[in-house]
Amino acid sequence: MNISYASINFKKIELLQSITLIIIVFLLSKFISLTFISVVLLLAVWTLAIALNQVNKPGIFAGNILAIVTSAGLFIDIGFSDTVNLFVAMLLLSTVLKQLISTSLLHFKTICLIQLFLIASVYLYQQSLYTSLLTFIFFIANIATLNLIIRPNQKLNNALKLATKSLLMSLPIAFLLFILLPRLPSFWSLPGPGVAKTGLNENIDPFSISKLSNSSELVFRANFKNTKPSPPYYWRSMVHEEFSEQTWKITNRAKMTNREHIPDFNAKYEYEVIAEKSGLHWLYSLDYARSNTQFVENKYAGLLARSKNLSQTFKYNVSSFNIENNKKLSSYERNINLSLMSDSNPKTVLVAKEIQRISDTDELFFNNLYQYFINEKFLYTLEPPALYGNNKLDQFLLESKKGFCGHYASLTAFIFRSVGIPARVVSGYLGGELSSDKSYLSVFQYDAHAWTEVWLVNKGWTRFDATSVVSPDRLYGSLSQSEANKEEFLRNLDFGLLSLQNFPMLNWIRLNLDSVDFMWTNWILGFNSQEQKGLLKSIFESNITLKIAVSILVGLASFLLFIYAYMVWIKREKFDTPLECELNELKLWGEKNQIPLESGVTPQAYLLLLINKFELKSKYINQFLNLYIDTRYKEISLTKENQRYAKQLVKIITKN
Amino acid sequence: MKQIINDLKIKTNQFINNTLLKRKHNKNNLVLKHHNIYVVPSKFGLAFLSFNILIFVLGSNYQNNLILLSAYLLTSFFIISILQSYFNMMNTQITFSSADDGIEKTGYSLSFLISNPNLAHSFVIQSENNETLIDTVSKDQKNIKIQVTGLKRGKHKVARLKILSRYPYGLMSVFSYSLFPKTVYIYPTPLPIISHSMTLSDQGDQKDDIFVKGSNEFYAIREHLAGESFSRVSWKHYAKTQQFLVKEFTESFSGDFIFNLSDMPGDFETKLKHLSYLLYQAHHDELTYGLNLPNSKLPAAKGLNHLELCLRALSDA
Repeated sequence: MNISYASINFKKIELLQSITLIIIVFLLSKFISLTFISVVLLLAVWTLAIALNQVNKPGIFAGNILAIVTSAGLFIDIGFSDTVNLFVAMLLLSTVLKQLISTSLLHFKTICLIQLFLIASVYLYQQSLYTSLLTFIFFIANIATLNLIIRPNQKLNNALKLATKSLLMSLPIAFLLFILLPRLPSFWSLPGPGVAKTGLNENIDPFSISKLSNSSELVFRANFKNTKPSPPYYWRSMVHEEFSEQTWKITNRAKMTNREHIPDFNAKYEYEVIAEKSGLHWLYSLDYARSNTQFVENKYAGLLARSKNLSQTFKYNVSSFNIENNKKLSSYERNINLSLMSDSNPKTVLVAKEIQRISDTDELFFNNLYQYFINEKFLYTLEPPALYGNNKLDQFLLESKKGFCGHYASLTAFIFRSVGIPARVVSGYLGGELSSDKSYLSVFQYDAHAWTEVWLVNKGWTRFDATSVVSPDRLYGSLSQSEANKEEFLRNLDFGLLSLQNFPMLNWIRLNLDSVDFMWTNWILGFNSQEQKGLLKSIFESNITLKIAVSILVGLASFLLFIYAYMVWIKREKFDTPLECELNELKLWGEKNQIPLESGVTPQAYLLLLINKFELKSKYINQFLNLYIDTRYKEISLTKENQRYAKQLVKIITKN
Repeated sequence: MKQIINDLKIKTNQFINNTLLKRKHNKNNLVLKHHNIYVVPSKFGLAFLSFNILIFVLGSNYQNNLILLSAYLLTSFFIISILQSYFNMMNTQITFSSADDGIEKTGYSLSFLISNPNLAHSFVIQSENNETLIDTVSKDQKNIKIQVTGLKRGKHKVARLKILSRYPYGLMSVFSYSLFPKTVYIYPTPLPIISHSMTLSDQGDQKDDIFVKGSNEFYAIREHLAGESFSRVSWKHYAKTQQFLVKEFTESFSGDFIFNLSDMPGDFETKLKHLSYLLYQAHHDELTYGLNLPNSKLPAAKGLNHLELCLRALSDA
């Protein structure tokens, strides 16, 4: 092509592209190094300023210097350890640099394509409904840019309108493909992007935390299939068996084991859990759990973990069994669950021994310990007083008597072990908030909890939760619904919709938004290949592959046909003046019979010509001609009757 | 090598014109409908698709539903844009308006009317080696004039027009051809006769003196003034003295000039060019003139039509 585009104004394209870039930077801001993101944001704002005619583009030399400096900074700041982050950051940087110096249509086109790829990679980090809505806006802007590249004279809002229309039209086919097109397995294994760690920790050391920070971030949602168990819901996530100093750790053995799941129909509960992205592999389940979902590992002590896709929302099925059913304790388990550092917390050991003295059996000890917590007036608080020095359990047990779940779990496990009863600390979540229609349970980060599991002869592993006697209302419902700790809870919560739950209106909005978000995560994010297979099987029953292919084709074809018909209808010839349509039909008929309307011939003359050529129909044509002359030349308004008559005439004439 | 490729290109084009396009596109008035519109993915469209495949691979690898959904969305957007780009061009009407003869240097000009009952956007009209952009085509007929260059003198078929649009998103190239069943002439480029060193053959005085044939009589001979018509230069004098002398006639003089090919200096093509120049000058000076060519003879006459006839005869020579 040798057209000069110099005269074309690129400002609108630049404006849209800088806006889309800022959307991307905004979406990625939480996941990539803040320093790097702020540099990119600065450059993106520069492109916006260029688009708004505020500043000039950098010259080629300045651009190159900028590229060298920023990419050096990129490698230093992000490093090579997290390849996915590095890759996305490089893509981002190259786009913004390209945007700074872009001058030709080819550049703009390239930027559009790279931006499309970038926005897709945002989904590696987060998949919330809000992200997706923003992404859709991005797609609109990006496509509007394509339109502006093709037609630079286009008005900006027209381009955006057109793009919105096209994208909305594309949605049905996209969902058709999404539902029907079989998922391919991963082609090759890729590292996932790193996820910031929040919430649970693999090591429990309650005394090192001065204040429990409560995040209202969603952790997972659970959807019970048949019977919903009654609360309390103890969601087990990790088992901490190794005790050293003050810290409870997960044994390597617990981390490593991975058992095959053999389907068992005696499950107590069947449910599915949609876990949000997480920094840890561990998943959440009730009691002794097993799962047959792909990428779920069945771990030691009835725990579940995911083998990949940490950065994504992940849906899995769980069957839960009574944890007590597991009645054998191996010698390994006994040893690890009894091990204690000698000489630590001597006062606590003394208290334990004292209780043991009055209890004949382990079971009695178990009950007496509960009684001890009640009698000694322990308090549940999210803001426990700080403890110093060694033997913190002693201080907690005998002096402060104020703490949160971690303190109690740590203490009780220690007490049990010190009298020779195997015990371990379990961490996970307690409770959950029922949705407004009571169909699913949402568990938030502030529901994090820790408790103790104790091995009792004849009963197996039994849960001991001192919190249940210290703060009984914590057991039922979420922490957000607990009256006793409400003030403390709200004080500790980071700002969000939840922190405004005292206002009924806002709370109503929050709950409804949550159920929309649930549908989104359940139907879109949780639609994995297993679920797809199940759905397809239930729709098509047999011959699935063939039927899928046929239904995709049929769906696609019928949709396109519909659009085609619609467009033809929209673009049909429009006749504003009376009898114009009828005349046109006669013209077409004449053309078919080798008497086309030559240019320059008036309709009147043409009709006369037709009268001469077709003697058989001359009568009708003549009548039509008279009508036509009356309405068009003599300006006698056309009555409805005459209109109908004209239509009939045309019908008679054009019928062979 | 370049020549061979060029020839091949011309031949294939001719083949396409004659066999494939003749039936559907060889009209003075072409309405673009489904049977004469072609839709293929553009280069950018292919790049878009390959990025789409990349996104799909990314989504499959991470088993990420939203990335997959994005890939599907972009794919169906691509499919929708096929329809949209087709509908943009549909019902466009192209009507031949005129083709004006031209000279070798500037080529001929072709005008046609273009309209669409709805609004259609971003048309590129290509012919041989040049392009015209039309932003919007509407119900009102728009007269488009394009200049077709690079042709040798002679009679030519009006160039094939390629009507191309990548609207709305540049993913698709939607195009059609228009072949007007018209011919056009390219005249030899007028070449001022002074710019050549010529060796005018000096054969037979009786034939030479074209200007005095018939009743023409000299009034005087004077020196040629810059910018003056060359049609009255006495070539015989020039050949002998290398001096431009202009024959001045009596005011009432209205004689015929017959331009003769063999009187012109240079090789055959140059001669034609000189003649072309002289014809234009003669027309400009409102003389009555005729033309003598080996294969045709045109009697003396006047006017634009006559000029055209003479020039066409030159082109065909």
